[in-house]
Amino acid sequence: MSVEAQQRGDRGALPAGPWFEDFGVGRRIGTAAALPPGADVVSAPTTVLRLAVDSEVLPHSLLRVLETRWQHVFPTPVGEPLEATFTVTACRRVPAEEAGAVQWHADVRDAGGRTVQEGTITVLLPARPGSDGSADRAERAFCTRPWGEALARELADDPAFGSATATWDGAIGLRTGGGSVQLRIYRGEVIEVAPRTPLGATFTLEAAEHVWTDLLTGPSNDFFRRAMSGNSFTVTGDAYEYLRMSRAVMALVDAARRLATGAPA
Amino acid sequence: MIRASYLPVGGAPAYVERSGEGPAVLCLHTAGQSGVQWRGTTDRLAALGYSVIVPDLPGHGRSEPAPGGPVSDLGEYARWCLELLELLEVERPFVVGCSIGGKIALDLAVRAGESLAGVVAMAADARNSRTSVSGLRRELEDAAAPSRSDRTYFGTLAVVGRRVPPERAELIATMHRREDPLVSTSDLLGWATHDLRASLHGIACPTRLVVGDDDLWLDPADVVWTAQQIPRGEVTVLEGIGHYPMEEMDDFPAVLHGWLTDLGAGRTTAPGAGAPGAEE
Repeated sequence: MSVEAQQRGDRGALPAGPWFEDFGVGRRIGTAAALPPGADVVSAPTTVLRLAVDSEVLPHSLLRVLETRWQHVFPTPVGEPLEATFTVTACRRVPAEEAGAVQWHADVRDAGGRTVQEGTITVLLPARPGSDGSADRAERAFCTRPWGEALARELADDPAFGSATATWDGAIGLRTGGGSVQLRIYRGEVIEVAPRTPLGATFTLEAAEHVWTDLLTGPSNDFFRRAMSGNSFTVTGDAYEYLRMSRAVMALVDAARRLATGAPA
Repeated sequence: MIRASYLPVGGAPAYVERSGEGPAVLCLHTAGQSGVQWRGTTDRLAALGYSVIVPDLPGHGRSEPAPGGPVSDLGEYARWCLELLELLEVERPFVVGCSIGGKIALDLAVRAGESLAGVVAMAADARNSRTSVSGLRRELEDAAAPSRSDRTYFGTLAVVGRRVPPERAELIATMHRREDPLVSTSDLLGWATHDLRASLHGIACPTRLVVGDDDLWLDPADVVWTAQQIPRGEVTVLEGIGHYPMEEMDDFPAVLHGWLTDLGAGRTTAPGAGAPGAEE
């Protein structure tokens, strides 16, 4: 019995991975595989999941599907080639299971590049034997408290953010499907990071996990383009303060991108 | 050599630049901006054999405000342009415009197409349905338009095309911050409410619609539809270009020269066909 298997007690011999730790937020895999003619597009998550397995995006033998969310954006042309891009959008350790949940976003496009279906598939993968989560990093755990705390440290050294918020007293909420965090800001400094602040968020930016992932790990800060298009971010709360803080929000996104990508300031 | 004048148009002094000799080309700028957007075009297009005319619309750049205040009816700008052309005794000009300038050019094609050599309407369609009229009306109050300058800057960057080098995009956005918010918002109200759809079939001059495929403000399908309604309508989709082709493209004067040559020669789609042109 291998050392790893010994560490897992009575579970017997283990495969060589991949493990939960092998999947980082922002990892993207494209597949040119096509839905076979006659594929059941109504059960698309299953079909696309099959594609993912066939394309070795996901390990078939270890797969435990926790959740799927799916929508048909346009009618899917049956029998025509489709392409799918899979992006890891969230990773959450589940200590009790000695495993971790990995959320993939799937973008399924027709031959013209138009998204016809999109959704998320969350799977449970075993944790690497012996891992306890102490090495888990917060830089891409978007909209969580640890991420917010790391972001606050990044913003503390950012003169652009400090200047843009130098006359401000408020809180910015950052939310995604899996969680939210608020940055309490006073005169250019983030003075608290918490799930809730006493007076609540002045305004909150909310988007799906894949939108945050694309924004913060993509090639450029295109927050304004996304905001103007009106179909990826929503803003709740005080809309005028949100407008007033346009430069601060851009600085915040710049800082979050540096945090996520390790790029220098 | 650019010749600058202040001319009495629409009851107020208007700043107008002219350069070159040859067929006249009237160049119209975008919302809130000025003729400075054509600074890379004027002399180079003149060198290609045109008489280039670049006005600052009322309330923009160096032109005095319109006597009635900020203009929110693009038809009023179109009438102002016709008055300018008459004052300059220009015959059968081409009209080229971008954004509201493109829509004003379309309006001129509707209003006076038989006396125009042709129209190039960039970053415009017949309706422009992507703008919130109620939001614009709110922003007519300065108190309801916080950080307007920042939003103009970032909003401009957001609609510059992916082919444009970052330093050029930065320059365009920095230049666009110079707007008067009240004038600019009024322009955008005109852009959002001026509906030319019912009049397109009567356009008597050859007309080319131009849209960048990175232009967030427009759906290329709407631009194609607009061109299809015009008897001698044509459309060009610019790959990697956004809302400001004349500021984004180094080779814009030469590209425009090609379009004008086609318009002047009548080399557009046969009446009624209205098929989209090739992407460039």
